[in-house]
Amino acid sequence: MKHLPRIALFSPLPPSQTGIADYCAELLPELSKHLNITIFTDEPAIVDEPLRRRFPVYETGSYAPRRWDFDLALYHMGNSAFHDAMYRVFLRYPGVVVLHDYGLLQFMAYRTFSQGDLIGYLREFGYALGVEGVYSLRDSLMHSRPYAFTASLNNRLLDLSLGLIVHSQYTRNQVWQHSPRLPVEVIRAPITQGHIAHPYQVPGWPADAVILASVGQVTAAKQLDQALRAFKRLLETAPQARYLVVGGWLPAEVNPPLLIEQLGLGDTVHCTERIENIPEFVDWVATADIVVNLRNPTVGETSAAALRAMAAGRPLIVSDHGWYAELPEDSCIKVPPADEEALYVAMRRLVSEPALRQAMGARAAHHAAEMHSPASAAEAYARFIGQVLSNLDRRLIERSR
Amino acid sequence: MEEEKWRYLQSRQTLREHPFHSNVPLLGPLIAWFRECWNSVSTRWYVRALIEQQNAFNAAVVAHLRTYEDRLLNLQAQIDVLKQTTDSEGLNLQAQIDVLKQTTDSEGLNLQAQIDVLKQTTDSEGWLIQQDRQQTALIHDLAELTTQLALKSRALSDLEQRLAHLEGTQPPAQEAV
Repeated sequence: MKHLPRIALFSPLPPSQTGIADYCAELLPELSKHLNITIFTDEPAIVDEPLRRRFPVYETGSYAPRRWDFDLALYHMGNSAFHDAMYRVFLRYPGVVVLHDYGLLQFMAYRTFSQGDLIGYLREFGYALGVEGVYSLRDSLMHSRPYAFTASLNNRLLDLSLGLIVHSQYTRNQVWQHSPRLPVEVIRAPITQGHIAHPYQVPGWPADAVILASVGQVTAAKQLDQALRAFKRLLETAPQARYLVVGGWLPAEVNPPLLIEQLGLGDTVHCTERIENIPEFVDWVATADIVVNLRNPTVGETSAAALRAMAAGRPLIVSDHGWYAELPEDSCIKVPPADEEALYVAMRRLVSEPALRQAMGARAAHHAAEMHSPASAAEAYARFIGQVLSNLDRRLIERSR
Repeated sequence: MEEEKWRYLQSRQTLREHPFHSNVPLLGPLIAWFRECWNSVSTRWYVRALIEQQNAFNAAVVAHLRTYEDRLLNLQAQIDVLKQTTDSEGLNLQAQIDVLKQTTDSEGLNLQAQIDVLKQTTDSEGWLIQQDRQQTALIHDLAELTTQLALKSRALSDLEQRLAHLEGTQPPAQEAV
């Protein structure tokens, strides 16, 4: 009798406003073909109805008494507050982790320092960096620079994990520098195809406008200021160019309207609010001719927005490091991080060469369909989980001899 | 310069014309008078001028020597005062050095004490971090064992079901692990 592995899957789910929630929602139907899944999430009552109909959904904290019902726990871990409750469970009942962001500094700061738990924050620095890390943090806090660190603070998570799924060679290499014996599998992030996009028409923009866009919630790391400065230069030679900022922004870090005013860009730039659903988001992505997806610094994250742009057949301009450096060369132009001149040159090239845009966009869509399908990702998940379980079983047998 | 030497110099600074005399019996005074007269005629006016010039020079030299002597004495007095002052300040500096040395020794001890405390703190924090890491490793191992146990429990349950099926009986209720 062959059973599907019984998996307790921990993740934020829609309508939670995080890319990982969308990622899971897209992957779960395929994953359920290979694994017997029960979902644990923070607010089961608000999870989208189709998921609740299809899967048992429990509150995150209710895992402990149910843990013997499962072969393995699978945690979707990211660098945001959405993962706090599941991380508490993980600390007691470790399992396989899908590490969406290699760096967890902001997450650790949120769950400790921001809650008034300075000792907890010091503890994580001590765990990751030793006594020197504790003293460095103390010095930094005395100068009111709590985030002036490049520490990843993921060491405890790596030490506890029974296996790790990541989305790039870059992240796997980073992990193996710390944990060379940890089973790590690189699985390309899944992205759903098939949504028929309906591009928007921004009022007042010319019909022949060539539209560049930054898509996804804007943060400081997404370098919108550089993109808009390069765009301003571009307007001198390409007055028909326009710029979209799709998906809102993080007010604590950036202020796009003020930036647009300071640069005197007027109505050549259009900003949208946060987009609540994926189809609408994809429509906005499809409105653009070129998607600018910069990130500096990178914390080893994967950009779902970049993948959606590729799936929609749009060429990308990306920062040449981390996961972005592994994107296919024929689908995007990679610019050195923080190199505004290179960014301008890339923009000008794609704006002035429509045939190149189309060719790169077509190859991007093909790559997304071939390499990032939820079906192939789910198969890879199941294969890796099977390996982890069989390895544990084999080690138990070896130990008993 | 000693006063006696000064007196000697002063006594010798003025040249006087040499008085003529003769030891010849009876004619001696006559001879001396003649020489005197002859000298007055032939050389007195010439030699007297030289003597006066030499006397003036000698007087000037003695006076300058006196001046230099006075200056030397004055300088010596100043040197004596300076020497006394230096000796006094030297003692004072030495006292200050002694105080500083004592302070440095004291602060050195204090710093050493602080270093010892810091070292102990570092040791204890290092120990806590070590404990934290060891505990994490234990939790990881426990999770592995738990997973292995769950797998075996499931395999056992499968075996019991197969056995029950073979025997045509119901499997026993699975006990909580």
